[in-house]
Amino acid sequence: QSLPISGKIVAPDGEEILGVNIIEKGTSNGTITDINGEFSMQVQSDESTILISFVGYKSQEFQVRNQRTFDVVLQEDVETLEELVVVGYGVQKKSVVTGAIASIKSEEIAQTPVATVDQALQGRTAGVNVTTNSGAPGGAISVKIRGIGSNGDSQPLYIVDGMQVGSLDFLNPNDIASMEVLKDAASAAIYGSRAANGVVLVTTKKGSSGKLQVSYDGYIGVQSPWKKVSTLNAREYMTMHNEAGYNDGATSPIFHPSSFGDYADTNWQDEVFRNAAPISNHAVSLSGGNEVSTFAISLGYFGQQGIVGNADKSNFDRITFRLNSEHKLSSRVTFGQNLTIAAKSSSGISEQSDFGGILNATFLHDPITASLITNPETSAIYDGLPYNPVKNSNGQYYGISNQNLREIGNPMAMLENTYNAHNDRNIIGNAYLTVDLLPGLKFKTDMGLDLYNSFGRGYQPMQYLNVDNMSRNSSAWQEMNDNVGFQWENVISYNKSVNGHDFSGIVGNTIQEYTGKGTWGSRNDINPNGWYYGWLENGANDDTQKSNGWFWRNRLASFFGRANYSYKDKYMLQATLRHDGSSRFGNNNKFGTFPSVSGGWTVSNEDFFSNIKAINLFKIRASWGQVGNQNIGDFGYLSLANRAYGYTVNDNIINGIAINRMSNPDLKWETSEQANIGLDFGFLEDRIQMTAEYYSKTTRDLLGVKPIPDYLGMESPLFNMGTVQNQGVELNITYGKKTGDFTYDITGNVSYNKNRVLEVANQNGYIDGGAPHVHTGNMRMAEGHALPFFFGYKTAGIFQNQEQINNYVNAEGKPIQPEAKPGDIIFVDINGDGTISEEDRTDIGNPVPDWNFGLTFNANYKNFDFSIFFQGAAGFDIANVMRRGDLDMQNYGGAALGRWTGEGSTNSYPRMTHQDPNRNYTRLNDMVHLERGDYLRVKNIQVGYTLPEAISSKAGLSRARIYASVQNAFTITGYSGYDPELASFDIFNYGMDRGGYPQSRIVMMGVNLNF
Amino acid sequence: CQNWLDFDPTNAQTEDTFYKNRADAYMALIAIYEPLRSDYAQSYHPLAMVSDLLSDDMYAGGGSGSDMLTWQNLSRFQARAEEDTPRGLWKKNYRGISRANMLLSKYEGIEFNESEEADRNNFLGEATFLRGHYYYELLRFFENVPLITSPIAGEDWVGMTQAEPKLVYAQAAQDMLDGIELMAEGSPERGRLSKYAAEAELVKMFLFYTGYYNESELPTADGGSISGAQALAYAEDVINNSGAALMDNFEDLFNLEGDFCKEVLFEIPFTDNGGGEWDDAKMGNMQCHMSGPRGYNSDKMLKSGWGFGIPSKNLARAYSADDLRRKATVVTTTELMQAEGGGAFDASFTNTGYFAFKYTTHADREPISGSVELNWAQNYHYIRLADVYLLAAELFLAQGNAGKALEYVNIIRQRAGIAALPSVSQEDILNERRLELALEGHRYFDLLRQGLPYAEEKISVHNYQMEVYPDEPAMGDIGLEANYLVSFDMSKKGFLPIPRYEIDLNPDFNQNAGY
Repeated sequence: QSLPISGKIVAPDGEEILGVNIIEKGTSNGTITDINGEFSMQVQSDESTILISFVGYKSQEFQVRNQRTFDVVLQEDVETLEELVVVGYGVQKKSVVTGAIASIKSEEIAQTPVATVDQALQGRTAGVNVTTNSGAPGGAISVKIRGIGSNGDSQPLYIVDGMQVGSLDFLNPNDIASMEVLKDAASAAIYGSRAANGVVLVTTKKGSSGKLQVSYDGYIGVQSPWKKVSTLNAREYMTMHNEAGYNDGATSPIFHPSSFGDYADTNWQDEVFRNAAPISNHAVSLSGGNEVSTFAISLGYFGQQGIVGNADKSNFDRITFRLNSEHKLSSRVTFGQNLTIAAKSSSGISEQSDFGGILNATFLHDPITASLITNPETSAIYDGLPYNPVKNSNGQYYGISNQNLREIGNPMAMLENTYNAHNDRNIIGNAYLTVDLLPGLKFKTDMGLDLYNSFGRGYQPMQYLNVDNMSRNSSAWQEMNDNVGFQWENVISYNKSVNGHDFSGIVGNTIQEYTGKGTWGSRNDINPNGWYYGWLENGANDDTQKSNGWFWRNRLASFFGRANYSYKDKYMLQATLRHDGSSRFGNNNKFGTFPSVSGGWTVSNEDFFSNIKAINLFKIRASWGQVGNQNIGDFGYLSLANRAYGYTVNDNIINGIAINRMSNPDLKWETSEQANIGLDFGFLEDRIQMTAEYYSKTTRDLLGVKPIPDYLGMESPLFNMGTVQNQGVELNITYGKKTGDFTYDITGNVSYNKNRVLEVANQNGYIDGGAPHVHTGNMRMAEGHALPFFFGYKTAGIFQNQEQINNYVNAEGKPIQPEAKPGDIIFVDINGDGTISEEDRTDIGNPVPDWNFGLTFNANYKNFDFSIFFQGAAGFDIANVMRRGDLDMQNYGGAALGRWTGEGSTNSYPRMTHQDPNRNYTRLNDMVHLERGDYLRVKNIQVGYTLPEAISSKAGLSRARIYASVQNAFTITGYSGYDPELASFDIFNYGMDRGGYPQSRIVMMGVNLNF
Repeated sequence: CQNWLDFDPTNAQTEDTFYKNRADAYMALIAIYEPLRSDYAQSYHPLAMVSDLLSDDMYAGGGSGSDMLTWQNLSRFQARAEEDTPRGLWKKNYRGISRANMLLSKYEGIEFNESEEADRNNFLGEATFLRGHYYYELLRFFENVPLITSPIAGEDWVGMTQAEPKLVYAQAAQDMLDGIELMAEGSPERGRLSKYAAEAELVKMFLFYTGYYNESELPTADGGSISGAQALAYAEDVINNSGAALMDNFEDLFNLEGDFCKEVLFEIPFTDNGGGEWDDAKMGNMQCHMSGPRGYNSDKMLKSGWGFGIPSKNLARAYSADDLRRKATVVTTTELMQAEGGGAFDASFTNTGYFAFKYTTHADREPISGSVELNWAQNYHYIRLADVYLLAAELFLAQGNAGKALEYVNIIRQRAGIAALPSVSQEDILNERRLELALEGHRYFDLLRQGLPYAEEKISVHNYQMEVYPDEPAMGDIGLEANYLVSFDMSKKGFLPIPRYEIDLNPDFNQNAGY
């Protein structure tokens, strides 16, 4: 027990290896190597045997005898060192992959601290466009793989350890071993009717036998807005509105210049944004095991407060627990399980709404109202207002505008009275049994459950925001949901190698069921009053109680198979087939079949290639496949007789029953057909690695809502509405170099995607989507255009004088824009009919980036490490519609300062006007609304330092690293709104910026500790 | 696995399992009634207010010239086809028609017990009549509309065209006649309609059709027609046999006494116990909140609203000093400020010194439930007996019975507390209708049926005498004279544009003249 030994473990190239397991055989005694590859331990006697093992290398055993120092060079285990890629229902050696699969490893995920795992995909791989829908804590992430392939839900299918899940926000990023993105149809076809928008496979970390490994990773940081939007200050505001009044024919100013000084000058963004909102993350993990059982346990906490309002207004907290384990029940039977428990809580504010969204109000509210009232006389007047003008916690009133802003209240007052809280719980787990039936033949059965519970509540106090905007009662609501997902899968797999011919295959089946139940209720007159008491039982007025409840269910039953053949890693072939049945479709289309084939040729493995030394890998891949999308509501094919709106009979509200929607018995899934060609290169012993892909994806029978005439008196049926094509190229390049103590690598990716609608299968060949309030012009889907595009007016400058208006005439010599005045926009008469009307709307841009790119640079020098990560998108437009079309006295963005003020002043921004007879501001156009969205963002900069072992070991640590990092450090963009990174799950509102929650800049410090 | 995948929804029946018995028929009927109260199918479109905006009685008002831009345009006869209000009116009426067509097509197969014979007839009568009602509303707003009398499945609508207005009037008249035969003598339940409501509306439609199109008879779908004498007989039947009677005090029609009062024949109910749904699911009368003065708060008079639907000075000053109806129709800003608990308020756009007082934010009705804006429980008296008296007077006059006409007009004048007329002309009756029924949604159609030149003369405002009170701006006109000018556009023939959404989907549809 007292025999000390020590040593150093290195790789064949002489590099020291951290974390190598050294175990005294037959005991639980063991250790691991430190950062310098060194270890020391005590063994029992000369007779002891030590076992040295490390993933990717051959294990070695030594009997101690009289040796005290073990300097060992590990030998690579070619079989296991080969990079493995997770594919549907299995893993493949990367060398034999024939589809387009991107793999993101845990180191990359860990590099940029993210709240949710899907954010970690951003900028990491070509062809995957990740956009934050909202910068709010816990805000949703939109992931689009290879363009928008659907006008419905174009989110990918998420599979975590084999379980289908709805989103990834329940995962602790520290738990992820790898994420694989199945981009082409051939790789995704094994998931059949759910895979049309691509598949993201998430694999969590598993334990391995050896010494117990304990680690802690954590960071704390502060967040601030990375940008404030330019708006008019008080003087500018009054000047602009006076100018508008005069332009409209007024003879006296709205605000007399001599009184300018009487008004407040409030910058609402300075009021609502916080500059030091905290964010923190702590994760502890344990893993280990022996030859029989292995396990990995982790406990994580993530907490983020928002940069808008105080801590209780927008925030997100998550606690996660994970246990993964695997046990050899016998030499042929293995049992394993994965389990996550996640508890989330959040609060949020209203955003992306031009009717009282707080960020929109921050932009629109006049600057001449004081945020807080300090003058006792004004306070006394407020005392006399009905209901409750809003006060802050010090009892001071928030200012109330006199500018007739209707829905737009004082943003601080609106924030003050924003009260809501949401709690969700996920318990997601699966258990499996693997049986080795015969050599190469395995059977696996896997059963999983996804339990989701949520609770939400909200409270609205009685309030007076302005004459148009008040709540005369206090009220509270509560909602609960209980959803269950169940899946059971059985897979038989077979592997056989004969003389370099490798055969493998799987066949399997799966059944899935998803059900949901929920209830909602509300009551008025909360007593006692206040958020603390905002529960239904305190609603004093029983007459005001409302409730609702619901149940839904859908099911899937499927068979699938895959066959692979490869010869000496030179020639590869793969075919898959899936047959899916779904309860979502009627008898005419309940079942669908999804085939795929792919092949590869590793040219560099041919004998004739062995002379080309510079190129160590050259592989050609090609694939074709079909996948489906069934992301629509249940029973979309049926005509339903259900509850109509109420009518009052005998003083009771009776909800009659009517056929509220047309049926469509032929409704079926959309089918995406995709061909992919890929090239993989390795140069100079893999110092440069490159992957290039070309794809063409055609999605037919898009699921959508068919526009039908209002005279049918029903809601539109769901239908298969057309065809969209996405074609693109993707490039990933990595370069790495090591010179002495200095190593670095650069990884870049860029993708280009062209999206075009080939067919719209309704009567008029287009479908219209969202439009800003009272504007003419909207999002549209139409043949020959991108999905979606902005359908609005083209402009040709500004009328500089009356003569120019008079000369802008049609064939009959009549003015094309008779209502125009000098300073108004010249609209292009697209259809040439001699007038400007709705018929002149045209394609003025589209909101989906053509180009996405990412670049990562990592460097290490001795104990220091550094990384910088750029991410960006280009080739898209944003409609900045924060400005309202129907609110005379709103505030304007800074662009208004560049308005037309007289002949020759500008040709790119119209005059100020409230009446706007030319409709400069309510015809959606490429002058005042559309802006380029292109941006390049330094997503993350990080500097780390690993403590010398001499220091860390004294603290009982095998490794200790500290780092500092800045997220969203800089953004280069010409976009004038809060954030060019803007998306929506609803593609018909994609690209309309009504004032979203901007992302924050985060400055943080963190540690990684291994014990 | 087919069984694993086959199950029915738990929250709905299908067309095949519904429409089986009396309970089903009743629920289907209530769904046909529902669009009567719809005023939020596409932004706001309360029937009376939208109608009156078009007339010489009302300006759009609101917070500013861009507030409810649709209405500002509508009131100046500059409506655009893509705007909300026309689409809302179109949509809600066809919602009713579609539901009526479905129930009528299933009616044969519905089982009623022997004891349910009355219901069997009444339900059928009400559903048939309501279809006629919805068509009449479409005809007077849009004129050129598709005629649909049976359910349409799948793509069968493709290629649909608008029908000749005369054919649609004939169908509406037929539906009303058929309904009258089957409907109950009295309202079967508060909120459902009796045959006298149907007769009263048939008379209204007769006068609109024969007036606007300069015809003597209203055609019916069975090839017949309704003559003036027959229309008069229906009016007389309503006056003599419906059991309806004039309220003693005019003002009681619009206070708490007014709902389901004895004078109303066709009542559209609203309630104050809906929720906070900002869509057509809300249960209150939207017109009320839209009418209330902005920022005004008196517990004895009015509560704050949105200040739309500002009465014109022309209307407010048409009442003689002793006419009891003036105070129940419009309230002056002076009265507002002097009311107990009253005081300041915010002027509306196109302020005139008057606010509407019939359908508005009466303080004693302030709702306690849901969102206040959406829950004003004041019923809309779509047709009341005074209207029928005056319609009958017109018919009598046309038949040459001036004595009876005078008698009916003077019944109305007597209640209003003003002197009886010695003799009566068509113009007198129209003027009486304006004073009696102002802000109830009838004036515009009364003008239109006199012919377009007549409507042009009454509605257009080419010069406006601004009355400005510098110390109390809210007492008078505010802003620019141009805001008060109106040009009735005769090329548009008095109708609204066919909604652009419908034109886009139906290439064979014609846009209405002038748009």
